[in-house]
Amino acid sequence: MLSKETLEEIERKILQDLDYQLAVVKSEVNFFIDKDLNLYFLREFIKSYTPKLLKKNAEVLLDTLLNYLMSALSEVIRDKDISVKQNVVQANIRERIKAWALNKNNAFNPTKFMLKEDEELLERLKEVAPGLLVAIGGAATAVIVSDNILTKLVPGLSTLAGSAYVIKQVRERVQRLKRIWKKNVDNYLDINKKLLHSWLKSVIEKFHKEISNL
Amino acid sequence: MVFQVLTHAVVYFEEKDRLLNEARRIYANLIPPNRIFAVDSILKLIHEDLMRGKKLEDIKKDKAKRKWVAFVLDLADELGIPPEKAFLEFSGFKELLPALENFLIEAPILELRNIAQTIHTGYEELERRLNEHLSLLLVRQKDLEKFEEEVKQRIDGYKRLQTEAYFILEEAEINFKGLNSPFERALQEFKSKYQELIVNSRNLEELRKHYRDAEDELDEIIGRSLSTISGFFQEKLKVLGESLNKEYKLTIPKIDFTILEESTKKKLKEKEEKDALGRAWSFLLPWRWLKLKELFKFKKESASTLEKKLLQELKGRAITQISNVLDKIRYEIFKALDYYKGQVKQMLKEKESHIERLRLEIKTAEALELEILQTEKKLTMIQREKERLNRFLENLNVV
Repeated sequence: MLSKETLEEIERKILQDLDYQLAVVKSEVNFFIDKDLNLYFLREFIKSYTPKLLKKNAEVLLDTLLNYLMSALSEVIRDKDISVKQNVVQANIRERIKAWALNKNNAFNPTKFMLKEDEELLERLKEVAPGLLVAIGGAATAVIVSDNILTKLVPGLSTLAGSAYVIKQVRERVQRLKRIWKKNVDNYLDINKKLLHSWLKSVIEKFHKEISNL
Repeated sequence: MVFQVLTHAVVYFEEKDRLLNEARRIYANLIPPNRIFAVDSILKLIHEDLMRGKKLEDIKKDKAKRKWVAFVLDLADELGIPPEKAFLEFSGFKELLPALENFLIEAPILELRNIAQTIHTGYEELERRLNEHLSLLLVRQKDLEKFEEEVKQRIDGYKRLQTEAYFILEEAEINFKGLNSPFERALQEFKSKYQELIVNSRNLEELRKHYRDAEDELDEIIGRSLSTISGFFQEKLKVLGESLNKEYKLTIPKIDFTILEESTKKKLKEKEEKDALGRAWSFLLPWRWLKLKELFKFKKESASTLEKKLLQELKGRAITQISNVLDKIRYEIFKALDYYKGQVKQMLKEKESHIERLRLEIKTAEALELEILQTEKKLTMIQREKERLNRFLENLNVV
């Protein structure tokens, strides 16, 4: 019922949406990475939040795709005889395709997100300033270092210079780790983009097959 | 909620107006602003003591009241209010009590009026259906052939209606689901806005404010989306000559920031205690003494450090909570959409099966006569009840 051109146009549109959605996910996750959040929290958060976000976005994309497909179908049968329309109604096509796409055999499942771990660094954060430097990163680090460590925690002690040096080192390592995390996110999204694309394509094919049988 | 009363008004005297305004803004959809008050019971007790003839010197002997006597007298002097009136004035009870009394008189009447109005609307709908039923029965009584023809026509009509309705339901899906729907766009905008505000909060007070604003804005998004969905169906059904009988009641997922904050504090405290215990034991090991930095670990953390830690932890939890709540809201709104879709389908199905029943179940002339009589009787009864309700409503208006 739907022409090859229409289906190709729909695929092009949904691919654009997919690109847009993944760009949103990337900027959202990077936004958190850049922020001065508890590093333990950040690590766990990114690991669980990114796949969860992808899964949710996949559902939104599926609804969007079904909207495109159903709009095109409604357009085609708009002036058709009532019996043709009733056939489409009977087929309950949207619900069936959606159930098929979310069925555990066909559903999109994001791959496991592996994030570079640096336990040593996290431990070190604890040692440098117990209970204080758990959060470190970006501009806030400098504030924490000058306000708390130097003036409140270790005033007048000979280890001052040593601590400051360690803090500087730790800060650099945190920045490096965050850069690696961003790359991890990029790679992860690239892999899942391919999976999402083929999943959405399979939905278009299934839809086409189903309505051809009507 | 009927009333909201903020307590300890005198303790937060400088902040009172701001807090009242904030409460009126936050609960604007739930409580009318003239039912939100700030009161202080200590001041009211002092006022009662004075009314009983107690001297201010004696009242001051009560430790709980002493500092507030001095505070209020000072304030009264500054504002030129006579001391004997000041305590009641600043207690907030002067406004609260008359409002409560009025409410106690008006509330039952208002409630009765709502109930009577709902029953009246119900009767009208029933009357409409019975009239439709009766007209069909009368056609059958006069001319069986014409009746069969009418039934066939109606069934065909309902089938067409069901087909049309299917496409309306499709339109609803397109309007309310997917990336391009206003609902999804509103959720996305909300998420980016509050993620940024929460993460960039400089202190606990700022974080609390953003969180409360987020709750308000979310309520608004939900309310708006729900009324758009119900409005859509009402309008579309009007085109089909039908109307919705029931509105969907949504359970709005809420998060209480106070609970979130308390549980985070508790979690942090437990962690601190565990860490401190671990450090104390390891300090007993002689080789640990060689590590000078261990000494710092016994230093008590300052209040500002603790607040910073709490802020960090809370930010993380707030972000996770917001993301979870958005998922729940999406789920609830789609459930509302499904509810309306279900209502439309069920309504059309019921109409078709009703007419089928009429054809199959009433077979003899006597049964038909009886059905007509019973329907007419029901209609007369409804008419009588409606008149009674109208009189009742008029009397309530007089009160």
